[in-house]
Amino acid sequence: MGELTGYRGASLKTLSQYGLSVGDIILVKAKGAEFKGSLLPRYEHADDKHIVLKLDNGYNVGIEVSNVESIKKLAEGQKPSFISPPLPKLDPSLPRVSILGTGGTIASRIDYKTGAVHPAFSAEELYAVIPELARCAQIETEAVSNIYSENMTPSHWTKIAEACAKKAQSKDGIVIGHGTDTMAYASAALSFALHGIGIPVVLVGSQRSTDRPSSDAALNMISAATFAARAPVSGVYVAMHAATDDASIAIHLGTKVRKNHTSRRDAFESVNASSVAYVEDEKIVIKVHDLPKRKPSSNFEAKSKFEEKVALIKFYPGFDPIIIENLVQRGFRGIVLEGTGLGHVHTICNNAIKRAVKDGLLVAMTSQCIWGRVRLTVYSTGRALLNLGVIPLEDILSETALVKMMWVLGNFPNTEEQKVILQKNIANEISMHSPIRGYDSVY
Amino acid sequence: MIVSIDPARINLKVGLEIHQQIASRAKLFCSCANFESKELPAEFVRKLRPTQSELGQIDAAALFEFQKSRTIRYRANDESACLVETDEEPPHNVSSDALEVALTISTLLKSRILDEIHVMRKIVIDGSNTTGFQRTMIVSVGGELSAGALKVGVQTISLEEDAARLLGESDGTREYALDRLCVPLVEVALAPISGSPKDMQDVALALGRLMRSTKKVARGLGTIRQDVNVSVMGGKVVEVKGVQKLDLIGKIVEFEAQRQMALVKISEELHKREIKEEDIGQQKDLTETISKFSQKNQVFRKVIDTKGYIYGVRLNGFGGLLGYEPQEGIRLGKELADLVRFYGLGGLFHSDELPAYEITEAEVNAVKESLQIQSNDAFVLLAGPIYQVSLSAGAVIQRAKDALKGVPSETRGPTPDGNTRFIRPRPGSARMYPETDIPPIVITKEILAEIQESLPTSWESQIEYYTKKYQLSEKLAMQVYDSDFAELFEDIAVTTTIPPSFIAATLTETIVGIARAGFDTTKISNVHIKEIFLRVEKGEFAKESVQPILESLAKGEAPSVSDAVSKLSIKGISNDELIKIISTILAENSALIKLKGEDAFSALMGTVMAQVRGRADGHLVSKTLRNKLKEALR
Repeated sequence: MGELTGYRGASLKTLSQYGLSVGDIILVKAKGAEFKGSLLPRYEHADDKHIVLKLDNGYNVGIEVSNVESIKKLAEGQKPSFISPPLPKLDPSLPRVSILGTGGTIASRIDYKTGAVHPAFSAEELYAVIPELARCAQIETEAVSNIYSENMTPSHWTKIAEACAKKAQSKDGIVIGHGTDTMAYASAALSFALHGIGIPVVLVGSQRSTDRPSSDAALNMISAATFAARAPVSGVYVAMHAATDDASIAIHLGTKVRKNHTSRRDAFESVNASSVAYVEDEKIVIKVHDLPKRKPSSNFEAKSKFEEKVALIKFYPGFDPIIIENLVQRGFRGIVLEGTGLGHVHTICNNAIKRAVKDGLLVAMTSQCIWGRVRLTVYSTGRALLNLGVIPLEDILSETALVKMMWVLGNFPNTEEQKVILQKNIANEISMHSPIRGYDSVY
Repeated sequence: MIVSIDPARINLKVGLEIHQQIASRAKLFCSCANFESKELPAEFVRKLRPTQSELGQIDAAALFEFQKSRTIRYRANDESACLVETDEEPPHNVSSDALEVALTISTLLKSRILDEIHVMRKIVIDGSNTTGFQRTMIVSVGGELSAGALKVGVQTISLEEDAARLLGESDGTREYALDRLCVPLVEVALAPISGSPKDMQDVALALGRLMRSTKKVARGLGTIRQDVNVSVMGGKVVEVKGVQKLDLIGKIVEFEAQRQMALVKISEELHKREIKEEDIGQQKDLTETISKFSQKNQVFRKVIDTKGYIYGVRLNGFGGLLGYEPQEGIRLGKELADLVRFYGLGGLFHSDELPAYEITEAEVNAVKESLQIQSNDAFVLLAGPIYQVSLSAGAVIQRAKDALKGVPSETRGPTPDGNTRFIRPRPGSARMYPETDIPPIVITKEILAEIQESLPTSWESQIEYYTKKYQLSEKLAMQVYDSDFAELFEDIAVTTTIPPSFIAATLTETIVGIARAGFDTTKISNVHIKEIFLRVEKGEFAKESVQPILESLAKGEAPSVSDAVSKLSIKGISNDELIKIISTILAENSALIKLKGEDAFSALMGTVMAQVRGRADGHLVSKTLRNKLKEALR
């Protein structure tokens, strides 16, 4: 971080000539006008021809350096920095909840580097701006990581799972702030890694950043903390807006949830299942009653390893089996195929699949329809795939199937055991009951 | 009546900010159509929270709104709003049409266009924006407006989105329509000047004309709004927001100047009394004290019955100053009452007006004792739900402290009679931060050249065009240009043979006259007007019927032109009928015709018109009569 963050080329040269730093109050004369304000950092991907000033009225303006006639430094300014409000007092009679920060939009603010919303709030900062949290639980915060959710890898899941297992010894519930892009993958990963945990672990995100008054972060976070503190259940869940209204927060099973919209607050939906509960005005209403109960977690250990050499492949017309062959050659250990309809791929792929199975890869089938169950016995193409050793994964979500295969390969060394566990329901990811209203309630 | 002011003596400074809607097909940050929806079937509720601005301070105005803890209900229609307006999708790129209009207006005002435009978020959490902020950008700085001999500096020209349309408010829930949200607005902020209230009106008129010369700005009520910033004696600036009518500007400036001078006088008196800011106010729950008395006062009765609270606030050294009226109608007590209304209370009672309103002397004494009121102190009583009462008490103490400094910097709204009323404290610059979803816009030399090439003709030459092409008098041409009907006028003038001056006079003088008579001219649509003229053109009724039909529409007597026609029993007469009537009259007056020859025309015209007025066009009657008269003389 230099004194002229983000500036380069011509604009950096001009600012250096005048000996300026970001935050300085300056007077710029440029082509018939005078601009007085504080020098702002330049967004990282912006051009090198302009300098940016924040005027006294709060507006930002960009001035082309080739138009600059003179710059006068009026005063040294303060670098923009974030000041956290003081932490609220904790009530010792309330349940103990740990909030783990991982980055993403639930914990973000403006970043001058890219001019974009960027994960920058620590979990503590987030807590400080949602003082209502003090009402529902004694909260302790910890930053596990601080990265964009699209930059998450399975090794981060391992880290988060281990942090959860440790917290479970002393806490009544855990909330994990997570970027929404890959939150459903993470919730599936933790559902497996933390299988058998005795407390609720709730992942929560936001679709509108916390820097704006209309952010959904606060209500999502308050509801997630409420559920983690007081719900009589254990296991891994996702808490997000149930609708566009700031009213009801839906609680989804960690393995059955999917981000189904790029930007809406209610982007997260339960697929092939109903959401299990909702939180409204800090009150919990449980809709599904066979959820695992709370139990002591003092000796709980996470199965937190994930094999990264696993691929999720979407089949499409024109698909070249060379993609499968390549994965086999490069030492991949498992492939989840996202087939068409009931679980099909072009017969042209059969040789490549046969080779993969022969080489010891786990090859499983899910459907790109998103809703519904795969069934490989209906058509001959499906029956052929079954004969080749492809494992049908019922009504599992493709993303959950990928994560489960990573987990199975990471934690169970025996190949036959791997196949059995892959097909066995561990964390509500596979249901043999297809709910009549599991689909039309969404539309 | 308020005494007239001398702007120079009191150092009156007035700055105008004019907000003009752009008549673009799409909105500023999405492709939704820009028009008011009749039906709003989609509905959802939201809450807004104050936020950390980029400098880490919560803006006072934002916090103020939040303290009211409102639920906001939004209503929308897919024809005029999408996920962008519902704050469920990032904004699209800035509309290039709207930007072009803003850049054109900047160029016309000789304002220096920015090299790179940055879209900002201005925090507004009253619910008028679903995001909790208004998106706005400065497009140019500096420049000059000429209003006759007066030259006024331009400070900034901005392009911004309009707010959602307020539908109503009840039980702490505000309801907004999303059709107007995101409609592009150009804001021109003029430098403060020390002219007379009349000068301000002329300046606003001149700027309006200049903007209309682009032919790309919207017309009609609500499409142009003025904010008037007033300060006196170099004091704090008070912003009067949303003045829709030009002729109110003068009155508002006059009233604000009076009000601010009065506040300065009150502050001087407080200083004479050597009151210190830190020991001004003390609040106390007096519910129990007042409950002991039999409640004749309706407000207290209701609050006690509904388990509400009554708070007392002691204002040290303010005795006599709440009712003190340095200018007619301006009292600190009234300012405080306006303030607590913001928090949902109906008003307050204060020591300078008590005992009264069936609050007895015994009650007053009990309050005084409980609040430990000394002879020079004042007190205020607030009654209502606990939340509103405690917030109001804090606000009253803060306002009393501000009274020491004179004029508090606040945002006020206009009343229909040209006074102003408190809305909220004035927001600071802490409420601005970058709109990070939209990258900055570089204004290239090519863009500037294009704007320069397609500049519109000036409004003066447009008026000249009306006088030449349609033979309008300069006065009529000006009226048409200034009215909401410039395009409609040209449309009717081109498609009919009706004399343009009649069309122009109808669209300006007749309609204004109907409005002045107190009728609702918004009930007359452009479609109505066009239909009326087309039916005149067809000879269905005469020009003379236009005014009664318009009146009938404005009065709400008839929903359509046809209804108005039948209600007024206006029947046109056919050409044959007219000829028959004229022939009969000529026959009856043969003696006169023999005596006077063609000079009998005027007398005959009078007789004919007496029979056909409103049913046949005067021009046609005159033409037919002249022909028939000639025939008869032959």
